[in-house]
Amino acid sequence: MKIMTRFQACKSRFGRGLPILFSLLFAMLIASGCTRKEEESVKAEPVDYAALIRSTNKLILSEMTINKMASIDDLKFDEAKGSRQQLNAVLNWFKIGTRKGAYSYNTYLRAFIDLNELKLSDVEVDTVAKVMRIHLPEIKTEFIGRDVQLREDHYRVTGLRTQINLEERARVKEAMNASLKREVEERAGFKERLKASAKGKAVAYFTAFAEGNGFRAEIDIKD
Amino acid sequence: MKTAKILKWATLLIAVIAVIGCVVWFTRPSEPVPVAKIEPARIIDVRPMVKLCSVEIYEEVPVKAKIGTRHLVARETLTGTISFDLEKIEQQWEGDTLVVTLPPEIVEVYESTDPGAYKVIDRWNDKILAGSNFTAAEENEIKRQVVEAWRDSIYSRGYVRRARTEAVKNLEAMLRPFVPGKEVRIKDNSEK
Repeated sequence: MKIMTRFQACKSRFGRGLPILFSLLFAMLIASGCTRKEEESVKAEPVDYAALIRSTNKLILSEMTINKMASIDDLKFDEAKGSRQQLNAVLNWFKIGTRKGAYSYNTYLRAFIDLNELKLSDVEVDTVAKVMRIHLPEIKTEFIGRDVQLREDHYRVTGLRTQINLEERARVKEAMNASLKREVEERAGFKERLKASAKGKAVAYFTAFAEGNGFRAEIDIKD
Repeated sequence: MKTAKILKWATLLIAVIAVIGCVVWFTRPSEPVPVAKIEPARIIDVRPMVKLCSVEIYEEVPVKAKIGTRHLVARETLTGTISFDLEKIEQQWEGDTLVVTLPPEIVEVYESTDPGAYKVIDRWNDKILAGSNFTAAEENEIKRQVVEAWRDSIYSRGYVRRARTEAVKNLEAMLRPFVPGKEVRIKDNSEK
């Protein structure tokens, strides 16, 4: 009785608009679920490109693959540093479910000599003694790039937790990239190992080339 | 009456201390919440090689894709290198001329390591109330297609042809000092 009275009061307030509004919402919900099922295939649209293209003259002597890994997990209170992180850790305690993900990708570093720096006078050939003295320019290093794809090594989202989305994965990759670049700059081991490998290869290659043409090679590389 | 007054003042004092405490606690220097726990970098391998790189390409590429009713728009910076494996060159003497055949090109495509190399601009679902998220596997497949299309465009826009021309010139200049008094000729057998 009471319910009927409330419904009537509501009906009188909104007149005929309320049923129409409900009908429309209901129809929209049905329509959203009943749209034609399209083929679930990935389709990347073709696009026009305008690139920055640069001519180089680099002799690449060694490449290094560096792996970086990161995991998404709730911050624990004992791991938290500062008030903001502590508050986040406390809030995490109330959340229902687990939210974990592990991601990794490779970055590539290379060692090269710029052949534009190699002058004609850097190669001395003694045709009598059959000796070739080669003074190679300094070995430099640079990042080539990183994997386009981000490997998902683990994924577990349960309970009332939100899925790990595209933007979050992009942020994680960005943070991993910044951390890796910092490590490569701060820890000399990366570049030293790469340069040592490049130096060995340069000596072996030019020695073989000289010997193939009947010369003994004496090679030095600028530091 | 006196007790009530004391209680009132005590409550007020506790409230003030709590407010000051909260302000101090929240405004003291604190590190932001990290996006992820990042492990130290690990060297997987070091590969010695001898490759001549003659062209580098750097480009911001729009990523536009759809899976079913879900759409994604992003921007990605790709880097490409066109190089030649000098350990695979064929060389022979024809009289006083060293004839070297340029090997097939190696086209490598990576994502740039510059900050912000991949940014999601927008994503949506045509269906109302349906989610617009993409799984890592779906996103990787989209990116794979984008890279393939870009790799094809490197050929269609003539960058490989240009790289081969540059490589012929560079390789000739590199080898000439090693064969004094002799000629060097680089042969490019490629049809591209």
